[in-house]
Amino acid sequence: MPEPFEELTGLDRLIHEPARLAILTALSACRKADFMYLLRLTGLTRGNLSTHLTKLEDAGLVGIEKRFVGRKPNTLVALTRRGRTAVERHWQRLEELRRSTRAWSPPEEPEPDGR
Amino acid sequence: MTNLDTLRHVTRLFPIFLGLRLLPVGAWFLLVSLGGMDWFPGWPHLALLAAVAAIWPIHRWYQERYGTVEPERLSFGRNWALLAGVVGGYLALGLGAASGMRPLMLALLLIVLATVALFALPRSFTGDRRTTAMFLAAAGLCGLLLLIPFRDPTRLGAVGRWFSLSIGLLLCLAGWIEHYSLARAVRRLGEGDGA
Repeated sequence: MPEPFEELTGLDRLIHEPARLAILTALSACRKADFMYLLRLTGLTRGNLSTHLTKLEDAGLVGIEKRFVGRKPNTLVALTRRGRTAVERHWQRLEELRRSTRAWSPPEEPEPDGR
Repeated sequence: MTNLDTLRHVTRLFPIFLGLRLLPVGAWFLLVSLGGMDWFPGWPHLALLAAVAAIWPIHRWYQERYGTVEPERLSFGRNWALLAGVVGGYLALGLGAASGMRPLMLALLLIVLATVALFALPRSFTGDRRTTAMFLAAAGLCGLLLLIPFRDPTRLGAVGRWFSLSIGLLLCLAGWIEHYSLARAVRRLGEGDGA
């Protein structure tokens, strides 16, 4: 059975990257959020947020809908069903890892002999 | 609470957040609490309409500054509950005057009708019923409170004035506190890159 620290390296990087995890976590708590809300909440620049959203959209984790509110363009972002499942699984996995890491103790080293 | 928990928490609360949108109605109560003012006939009605209308630009400002979030479940949100309370109170006043019914009875009737309507509506519309019931009751109470100074604000007694003053201060304070809490949470999350 792999040790918790080995499992940590096996986490999905697409989701686990801090900015993307923040975006996905925010989206998991609502039905849809707009670009401005995510921008404010994550503190990313417009360009960075846009790049992360494109990556998530390409992976099929979020859906992006462009519309106009009055005369202003507005971008709505929502988790896809796949995205919601992926985020929930990721959180479960993190929780399991946290628990197993706490319970983990280093293997005892054999007593050096010949001394 | 980690930043990600805060992020989730803020996002869940954002659709029911009122903040500075409470200020115009609070200001109306404060204005009414001045009592004895007889600027022109029907000024409390016009002032209330102006207060309700003033909520819109504040709402737009929030949308432009903080964006919008659609809640997980479509529900009878607090914004609607507040509006229902104000409009309900206003209508109750008119009905009360026409039918000769006591405002208190009318307000209680409104609360009962709102509660019946709440349970008659499908769950998909009302979302979390307990929360919705709480806000509807608060809206009914708001309507009730509204009626007391609204009967004749120019002839309010000392109790009525203190009552309006307390409600006005409470609404304004609640609005500022909510706004400050949101601004602080968003600033902190933004500074920490959200994660």
